[in-house]
Amino acid sequence: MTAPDRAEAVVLGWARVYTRGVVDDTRDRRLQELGSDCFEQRRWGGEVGASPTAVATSMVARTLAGMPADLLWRQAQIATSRDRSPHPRGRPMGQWIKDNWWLAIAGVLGTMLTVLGVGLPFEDRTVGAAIGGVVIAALGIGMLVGIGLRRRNRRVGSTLIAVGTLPTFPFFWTIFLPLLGIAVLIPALRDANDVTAQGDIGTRLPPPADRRDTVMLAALAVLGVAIAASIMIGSQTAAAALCAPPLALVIARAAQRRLPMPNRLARIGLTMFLTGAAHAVLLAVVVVGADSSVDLGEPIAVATGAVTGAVGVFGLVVWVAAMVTSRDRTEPA
Amino acid sequence: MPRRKPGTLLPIEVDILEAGLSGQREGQDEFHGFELARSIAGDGAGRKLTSHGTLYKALGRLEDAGLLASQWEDVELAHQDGRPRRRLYTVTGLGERRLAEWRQEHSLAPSPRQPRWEGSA
Repeated sequence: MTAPDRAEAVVLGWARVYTRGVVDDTRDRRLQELGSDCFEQRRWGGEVGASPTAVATSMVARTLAGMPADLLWRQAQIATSRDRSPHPRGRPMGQWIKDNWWLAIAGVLGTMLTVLGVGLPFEDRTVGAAIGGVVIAALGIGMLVGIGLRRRNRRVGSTLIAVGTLPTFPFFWTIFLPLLGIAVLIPALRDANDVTAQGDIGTRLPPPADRRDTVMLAALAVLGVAIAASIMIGSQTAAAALCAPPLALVIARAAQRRLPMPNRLARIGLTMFLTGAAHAVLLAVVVVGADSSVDLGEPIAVATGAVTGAVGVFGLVVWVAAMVTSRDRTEPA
Repeated sequence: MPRRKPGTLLPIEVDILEAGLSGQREGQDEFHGFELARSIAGDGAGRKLTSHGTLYKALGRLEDAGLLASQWEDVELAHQDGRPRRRLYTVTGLGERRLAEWRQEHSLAPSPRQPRWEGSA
């Protein structure tokens, strides 16, 4: 292999790297043009009596000097090929920062929650702390994943970020944590709401005719499993604790379907809130109606009560935020 | 990177249009990438060949703006000559007008860096 051969391999190798992911036609054109350019330069070098080393050096130098332009060209090609890019070509950086500042806070918050979740079991060596730590860490990681996922699927990514703010609200006495949570929650919901209304890359809205109430179906299925499990366990408290959440969800879902909502997030938030509220009512009914053997201190009842309570509070925040941010946005028919 | 005013030309774009028009005046209507780089570099004594990235990015930009048009050379012709086919460019009427406007705005006669066109190999 001669020096110009190696130089040509460098030129075309680099071109294959920076054209990766570019539209096929554009990529092929650039590669063919460079192939022709290399051939012509080598032939010209032979005609003017340049040494092979000089020709090879010139070819490599032209590639090295053009690398910044190649990368800018690639960036422009990728942006152009994304018809519905969330960051259109030429968008001012200031505008991008204005629209996405909350992602930086989400990154900090996600990291904090992950560290907190991992550290909690080491601080407090109880089963509850371990479960809480896992949940907090999982939501923190989910938030970080959501930030990365937003480029491919904005709706799922932003929803993950919004859900990830959940653990900040129980820490209300710290003040700053729930404030950070709200600072991320509202723009994340707004973002997910915008995508729901407008559609986005990687976001597939089912046709209206195919929309079934999957939440209701899932709740009924879970309720069936809970009833079966309660029968097997044979404990009244466990039955109340296991069956109340899905039953509350069924009731809440049936109730909110009758209420007109401006968008899907408002509907989800209201469902979560009503589920928490319905669960509280159901547990209260069980407490009042049950005999003294019912012990609400049992772990299952406490755990489900805490979870649905948190879900209810979170749902209320989501609902209010969705109603506030919806303004003129209405869910497509 | 600062955004430039619409309609303005960068030095490399001026060089490309001037090289293309220079060739057209000498009866060579079409030019390819390396030919252009060599033409812009002149005799090669003082200036180096334009880098690949800068050259082909500028060519694409000028084509997008309608100042250049391009097409692939006939495969048979390239095959007979034993080389890869060339992408052949021509300066459009709009490109010629835009260059004239640019010269007028800059009160310039043809650029002192005007490329020297050499016949195609």
